Amino acid sequence: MIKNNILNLESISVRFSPHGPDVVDDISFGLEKGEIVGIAGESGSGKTVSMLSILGLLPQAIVKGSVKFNGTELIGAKNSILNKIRGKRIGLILQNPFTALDPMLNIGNQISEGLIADGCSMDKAKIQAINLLNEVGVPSPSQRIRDYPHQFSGGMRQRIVIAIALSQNPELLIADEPTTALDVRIQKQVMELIKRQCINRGMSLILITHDLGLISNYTDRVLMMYAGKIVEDSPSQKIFKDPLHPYSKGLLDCLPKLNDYNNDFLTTISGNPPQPNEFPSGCRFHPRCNYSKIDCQKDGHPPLIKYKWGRSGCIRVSELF
Amino acid sequence: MKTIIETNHLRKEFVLSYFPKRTILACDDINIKIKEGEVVGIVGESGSGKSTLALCMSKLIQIESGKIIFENKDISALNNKQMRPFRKNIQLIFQDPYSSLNPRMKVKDLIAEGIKIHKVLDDINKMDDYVLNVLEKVGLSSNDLNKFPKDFSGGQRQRIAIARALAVEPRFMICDEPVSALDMSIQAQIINLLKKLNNENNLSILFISHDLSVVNFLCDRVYVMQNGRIIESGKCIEIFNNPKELYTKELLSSSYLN
Repeated sequence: MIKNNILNLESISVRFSPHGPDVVDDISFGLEKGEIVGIAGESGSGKTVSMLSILGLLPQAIVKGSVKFNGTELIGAKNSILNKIRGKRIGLILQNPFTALDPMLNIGNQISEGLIADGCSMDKAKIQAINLLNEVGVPSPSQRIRDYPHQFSGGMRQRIVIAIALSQNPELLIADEPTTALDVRIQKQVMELIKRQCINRGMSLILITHDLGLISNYTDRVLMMYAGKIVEDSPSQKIFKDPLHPYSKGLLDCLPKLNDYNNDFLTTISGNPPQPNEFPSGCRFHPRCNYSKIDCQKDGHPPLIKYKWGRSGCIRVSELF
Repeated sequence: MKTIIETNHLRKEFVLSYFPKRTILACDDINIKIKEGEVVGIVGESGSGKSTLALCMSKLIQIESGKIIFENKDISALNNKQMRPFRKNIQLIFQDPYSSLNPRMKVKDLIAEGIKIHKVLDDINKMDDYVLNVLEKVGLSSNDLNKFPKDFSGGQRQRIAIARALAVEPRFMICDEPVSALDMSIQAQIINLLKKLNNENNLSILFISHDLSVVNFLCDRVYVMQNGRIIESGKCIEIFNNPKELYTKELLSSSYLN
């Protein structure tokens, strides 16, 4: 792996009971400084679980493997070590701004909470909070700092959540479906804000989403997940034109195009994504795949292999793409 | 082509319960016309009154003023009892298949419920065959008859919701964001199903969504709503290629992948 990776995952597996199935199975990838990576996949594919478990935010999860954040091992680390990293060096934005904020505290307190815990004086923290609100585009921040979350709209609340995540100047931001609860118009504003902040601060971003539109517009690289496995790792510019896995190809074909006016039916992927206790043997996508052969059903899920500009988890990649 | 449903100057206000003097105007002067066999889309951001309009058109809530005309009959002033014969012909599918199905009823009972109430079948003994037939139309099988909603995934539940609506052989169906809660690969399956039903049964559909690419794919015409008003309407191809209102342009630019 390259030296200046700020985050390195090596064969991470997550399960929720000792003899249960691996919900996330043997995923590895590295994240460079300043890189924006998208993790895409359907619900239940393990996008969120993989990210939350490396931060130690899923206490009931059994995590195997190794995660190095700037050289510090995160898996199995004590809370005293994790607490110096979580929030300070890795920021987190959660999906739902309606539940991420404490309804009993005004937003000024919530933004400055982390700063004060870090040894900042009350006055300085307040000024800092106003600056942050200004930066994320909340109008008249010096008045609104005394307002409570219910006085803000969804988009504004998500901006406040972003301000909290940014308050400690993290090196890495993990955004877990940051715009799913928001409207299309607000979604664009929020995503542009996040992207701008990443570029200004030289921050890396992991964007977890199921929206391929967001991936295409805002990320450098995309990891496509299916049934707890990464099936493709490609630059975002490439995946939409030349996907390297039948699953990515299928998903892209599913989407109706805005400039498509022939009235045929959409191509679909038949069946449903599998549940963790019924993952098929071999390639996990083979029962739904149009290109599957007998070889696809053998052994475990095929590992990611380097191909052209990315990595693909399909054993027939060189024949098909 | 015959007009199946139209609204004339439809208006709906909500009175805030704690401030009875303050009202919210959810639908203002709405004029919509849907022809037989047509698929019409309504787009707009949340809070623009799309869903309220759907509830008004199906008469699940009372309207303030204006008219709703269904197959040349004014249904806007009818009470619940008088409304009953029309309910069979106006069916609704809601956004969230996790909350729109009764968790304690089996699939066959869920589907048979409407058939019994509206007396669609002359011979009640044929019920099982009829239910199975409907279920197969939406792509489920006879194994599923005795299952409960919890045994199904989101996409399959939405199919059951569609089967429930189809079972009473409606003339007009309102789909209120039917694919928003579903996964990407499942969305396409449901959209194809709606399209198939429209082609085969000549069913008129009002399709509410905030996803413009889906609307563009499925619908013939589209209405754009903002703050309870229709600000733009026309053929999909015209609106999406050449939007006139700033708001429509904004909506279009925020939907990606074009």
